[in-house]
Parts: sequence; structure tokens; C-alpha cells
Amino acid sequence: MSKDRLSNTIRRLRFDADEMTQQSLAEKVGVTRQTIIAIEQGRYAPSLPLAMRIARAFGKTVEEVFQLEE
Amino acid sequence: MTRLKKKAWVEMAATGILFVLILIQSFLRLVQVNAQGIHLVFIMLFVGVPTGVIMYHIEYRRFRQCDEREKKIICKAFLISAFVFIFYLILFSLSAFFLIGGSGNIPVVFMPTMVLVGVFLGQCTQSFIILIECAKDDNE
Repeated sequence: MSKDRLSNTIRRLRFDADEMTQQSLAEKVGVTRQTIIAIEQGRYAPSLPLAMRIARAFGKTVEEVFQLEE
Repeated sequence: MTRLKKKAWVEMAATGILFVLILIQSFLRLVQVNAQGIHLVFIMLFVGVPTGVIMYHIEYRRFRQCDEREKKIICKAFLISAFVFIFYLILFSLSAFFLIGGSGNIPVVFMPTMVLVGVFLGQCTQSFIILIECAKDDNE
């Protein structure tokens, strides 16, 4: 079984984007704030469409937002 | 209160209320027609199926409103509750037919009741798991 962990830079990107709140990011990508919290903390790995929506919200590529730690 | 938490509490309460309502209606009808054997099953189906269909539609509409993580939590909770329901039915069947002594010793009127108890047990399990996941979210 794979032990890969998906880390991300959402927290930093939010602060870079005029301190965007978790709530406003959640509304932008169409999920709940709890889901954004879970993704930020690495407790939940988003699906590819959601990852792409998050990346698009910051004007970045998926690889710039999410990194696979092996 | 988050959408998931609300869903868990509402469903547990709704299933509890429906459980009581179905039983009351069914038993009233049973007494009215003095039903026995297969009639009992038909009456329980007559009351239970429309209620089930309505509940399914409400559930499905709510499920579609959830995001992907919430859907995953709901599916996980449903899977575990289905196992609990099946385990309960097996346990009930085994205890009914091997320990108590079969259909001769168990009034047939208790059969649907026991199935409904299983449904309620399954719903409680599902709600409980969702609430545990919500509590984990709250702790973070």
C-alpha cells in the first residue's frame, strides 16, 4: 500500500492572495470550509477536479499548489 | 452547526420518529383486520415502502448538495452501518432459530419490529460515525 502524502501550499497562497479566508476559498471552489481545513492540514487528499479548481482559484498550476511527498 | 452534523441529527431523529409511526400505523391496521401470517408482511410493506421511497428522495437530494469529502464520509458511514445491519440480522436470525427455538416460539408480529429495530440501529450507527468525523474536524 502506498504511503505517499500530499502536501500543499494553500495556506501560504491564501495569505499571498490578500489574506483570503478559508470560507471565501471554499465558496470559490464549491466545497465547505471544513473541507478546505482538512485539505490544508493534509488530512484529506482532494480529487483531481477539486485540486484543479483550487489551483485555478490562485492562478497556479496543480503542481505549484500540491506536492507529493514519498 | 455544519451540514454534516445537521444531517446526522436530523436523520437519526427522522428514523426514530418514522420507526414509531410505521409501527403504530402497522399495528393499528393489524388489529383492525386481525391479520395473520403473510398479511402482516403485506401491511408492513404497504406502510413501509412509500415511507422508504420518500426518505430515499429526501436523502438523495441532500446527498447531491454535499461536497466530495462529505460524500466520502457519508459513504464510509453507510458502509459500516450496512455491516452493522447485516450483522444484526444474522445475529437475530441465529438467536431466533437456534436459541429461542424458531417460528413456533416467536410471535410473527415481532419479525417486522425486529427488522425496523435493525434499520434504526443502522441509522444510529451511520449518524454516530458522521458525528465522530465532525468531532474530529472540530478538534483540528
